Amino acid sequence: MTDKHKLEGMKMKIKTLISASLFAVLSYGSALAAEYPVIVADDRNIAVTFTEKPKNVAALNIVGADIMKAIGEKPIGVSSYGGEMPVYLEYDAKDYVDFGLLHQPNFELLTEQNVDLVIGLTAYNAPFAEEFVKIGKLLTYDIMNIEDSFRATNSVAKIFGQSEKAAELNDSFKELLNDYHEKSKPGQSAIFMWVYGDLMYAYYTEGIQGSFLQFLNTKNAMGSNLNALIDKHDIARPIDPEELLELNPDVIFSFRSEGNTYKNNPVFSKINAFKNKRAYHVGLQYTQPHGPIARDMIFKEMAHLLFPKTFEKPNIPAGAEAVALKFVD
Amino acid sequence: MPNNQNIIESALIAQPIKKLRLSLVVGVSVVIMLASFLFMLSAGRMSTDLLEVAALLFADSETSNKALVIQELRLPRALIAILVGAALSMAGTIIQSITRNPLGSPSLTGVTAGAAFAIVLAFVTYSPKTDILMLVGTFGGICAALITFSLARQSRFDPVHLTLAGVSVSIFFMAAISALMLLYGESTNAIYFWLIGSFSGRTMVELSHLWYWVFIGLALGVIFSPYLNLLLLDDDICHSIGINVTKWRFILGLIAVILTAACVAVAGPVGFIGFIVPHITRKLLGVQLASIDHKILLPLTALVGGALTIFMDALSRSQIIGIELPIGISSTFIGGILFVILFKKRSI
Repeated sequence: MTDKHKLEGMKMKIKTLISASLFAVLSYGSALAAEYPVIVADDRNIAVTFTEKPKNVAALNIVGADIMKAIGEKPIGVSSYGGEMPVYLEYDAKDYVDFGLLHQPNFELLTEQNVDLVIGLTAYNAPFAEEFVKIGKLLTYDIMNIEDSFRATNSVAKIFGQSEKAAELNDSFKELLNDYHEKSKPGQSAIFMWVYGDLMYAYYTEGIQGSFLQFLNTKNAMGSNLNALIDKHDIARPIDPEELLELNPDVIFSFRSEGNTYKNNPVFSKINAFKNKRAYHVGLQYTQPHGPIARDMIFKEMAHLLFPKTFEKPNIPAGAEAVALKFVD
Repeated sequence: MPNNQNIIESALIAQPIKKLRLSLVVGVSVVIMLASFLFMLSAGRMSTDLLEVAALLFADSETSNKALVIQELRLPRALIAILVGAALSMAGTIIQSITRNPLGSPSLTGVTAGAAFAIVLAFVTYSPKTDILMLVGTFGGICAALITFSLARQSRFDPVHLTLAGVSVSIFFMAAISALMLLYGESTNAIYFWLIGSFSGRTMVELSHLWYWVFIGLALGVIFSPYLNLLLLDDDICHSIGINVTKWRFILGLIAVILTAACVAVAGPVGFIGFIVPHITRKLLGVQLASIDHKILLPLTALVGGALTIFMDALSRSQIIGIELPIGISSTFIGGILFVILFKKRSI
């Protein structure tokens, strides 16, 4: 055997050893990831123990369905989302059970479908925890700001042994925020609103939507609310047309809602956003924007709408895209 | 008009109204109305003093945002508050008189629920423009009241039957509204806020729909007010002096319905004003339900109602409790308290 052959032999052994070691490490890691029992604490500070991976998950909180999709899992059903399935997740209604409204889920259906985990929203579902736990396990989240989004992603992913994937999703989104922050120029103002008939609400910077404006170097016309530091739900307040005229935002993001307020009120035609045709009805995902898919989609769409020349239009499923808000029929 | 005015007047046990009291009620109402009106024009996010307001009322709203706000937001809202208050109060007086029921209110004819149902139905099915929505609401209210009247017609609009028919029609339409809201789910959220009753965001569009209904109703109410005096008497007495009770209850009821339907279409169901203001007015005048000339009472009730309603809206606008309460809530709240006070004093 020549030295050359000996060297080749050594290389082969090393390669085999490395491969075997890698396989062992990965197998161990995988075994670790799938290791049960897993204990997950939700936003009620209740620790829930999972002895196995849940099979029939009802994601009443769409954020739960969003996180599951992002980590390669899927629920058996969701709550109807503004009266429809979550379009942005491209869920086909026939493939998922519609468990009813988030605040009024169909308990009979949940029982019938042998749901073993319900992912809910604390405000709406926690008061009925006793009813839920008769059916399966319950986790509820109280998600308002960007930190809540990261925490919920970690928490839900942990149930499925996907903590690393969650960390990866959160890290890449943080990178995206920083990257876009550097590329966006200051000088514009915008506002987030929802409109129910004659009643309009606008969001402070403390909500996730408002914080996205900060990352995009855009002034939130509503500004900040220090009370939100004490009560994180205090992220929006009613606003009247007169105040909106005074704030005069360059861009309006309005959640899809009903009523003819915009169309009827002559004041709106004087607001910069309307004058420059930069008032938008945004998709329903903006109302529960904390999932990894939604937050990514929303942030990129906002960036595009605020800086169309700098940021490309993201790929958003039909029906979930922002559309121009018409002042006149 | 009645043929024999002397017989009619002798049949009516009218209490004389003290002129001083009357002048005082008129004076105080006018002062409250004017003060509230000026406050409504000057108060808001964009600060404006009264002198500026006067100039802005006639300034070009195309070039001045402040002028736009005064002319298109604050002025219509203030005028709508006065008109709605006046119309509902007058309608309430008419209903209380034709049903001889001190607990009567315009909604007893089913008009409020009918108008609300028509608006909810139109909203969820094809979401029309505001002016169309106003007309739909008004005619919906009139149709509902006509159903009530047709149910009560067999009993010649007997006050008890009229009240029961109105309550039944109201319950039916309220149930229908609930059914629609359940059926259309989230898309009726906007209607939920409308159903509270509010003047917020109302513009010249709503005012232009409202004013002619109100003025027609107010004028007809005053013109036919002598018959209201007579309808407070016993039916047999009315017949004996040649008054067609059925016909006049229907006509006067229809006037109340016209007044109410237009208001509901514009502001939503604003509770208690139509019920409580007639009581307040009579109390201020120191007279009872069956003992006052409606030629004085009706316009006076309209004045007091207009003043009280714009005052409540101004109070709400001042955000005295930190938020701006819709008139539907503040009127029920204040009206409820006033009702309890009057009840305790045995004035109802």
